[in-house]
Amino acid sequence: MFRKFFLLPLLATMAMAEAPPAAVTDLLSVIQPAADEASWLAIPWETNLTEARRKADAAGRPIFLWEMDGHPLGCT
Amino acid sequence: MDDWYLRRQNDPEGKFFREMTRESPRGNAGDATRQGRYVFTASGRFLGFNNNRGPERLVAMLEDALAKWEQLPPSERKADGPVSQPTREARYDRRPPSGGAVVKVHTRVLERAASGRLQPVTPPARKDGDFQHRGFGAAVDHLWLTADDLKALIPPAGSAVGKALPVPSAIAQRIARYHLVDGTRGEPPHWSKEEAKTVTLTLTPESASRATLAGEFHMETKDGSRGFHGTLTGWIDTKDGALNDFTAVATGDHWGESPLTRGARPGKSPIGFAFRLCPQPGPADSIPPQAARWLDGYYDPARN
Repeated sequence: MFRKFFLLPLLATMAMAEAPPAAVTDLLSVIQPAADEASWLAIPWETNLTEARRKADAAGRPIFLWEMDGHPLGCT
Repeated sequence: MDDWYLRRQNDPEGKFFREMTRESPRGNAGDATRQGRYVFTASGRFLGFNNNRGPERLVAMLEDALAKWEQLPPSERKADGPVSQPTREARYDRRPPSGGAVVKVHTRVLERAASGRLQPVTPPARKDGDFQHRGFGAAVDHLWLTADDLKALIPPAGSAVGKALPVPSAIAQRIARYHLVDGTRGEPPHWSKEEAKTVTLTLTPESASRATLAGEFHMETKDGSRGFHGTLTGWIDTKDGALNDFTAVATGDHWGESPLTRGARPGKSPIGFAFRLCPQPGPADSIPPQAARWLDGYYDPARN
């Protein structure tokens, strides 16, 4: 009985201490966006409204604004 | 843009935005959300609005807005005068901490392959009525570390190799309560002090330039309906006393949902968080952390 209680924290400690960088790198590739998920980030989004107005005015173009509760380029 | 800030800004930028939306379907929003997709001129003339995720409807709105743009005389396409950056209302002005660091945080729900390896969840067929959850993509947020955080975080020269040091509480709590949250289906609630049941994060110098990060976390609501339990592993590298790399992953089981994050998988299931330093943050890397709406509480979670 006592061994069961003791093993759990021991295993958790080993998992934290022994994860090699290769395992971290593998998990990064799993969690981070794949190339086909991130293509929209190739757009040079302007994150400053006034700067967008200045650039649009100079370029003679209208402005497309993506407005969300939570920034579309952050947590939304 | 983050509407939470823009609709509140009592400065020329915020006023410009609200005035522009006056002719849109959000014109009577008052203090409520004005989120959506807008097209307008540099002078603030409204041309189009859409708040539907369907690509066909968005394209139709853009085409309609462009047609209106084409009909405008050149003088009405231009701003009334030079466009210059006004002073932003200070309490809504967020910039990455001077002398600090920005760490990109991605979150993704995972599943275990037969081999035991964690992998992205294969989205089900859209018409599978028994499987309603969503949010299979990578969510993003940013962890901000101040110059003082970096001083406290980086082990001093001559630190004993192999001896674990506790990561300063403000940083460990910031990571746990504001960044180990399930943001894959919308804006997530953050963990309260009481919900952060286990927050253990240590840094162990491995060499003069590298220290490994190891952590264990357990956050759970009082009623047990939402939580996360997992571990973190990674490293920081330093060069000439400055932070040169911050890489970590946290994995574990999460469960539950909130009013803005409906559609979670039933029961406990794997989730992963990836932390990578942005060496030279560009505009897209400089978006404030979602939890930084109260900036002091973000930097000092003990106050929140």
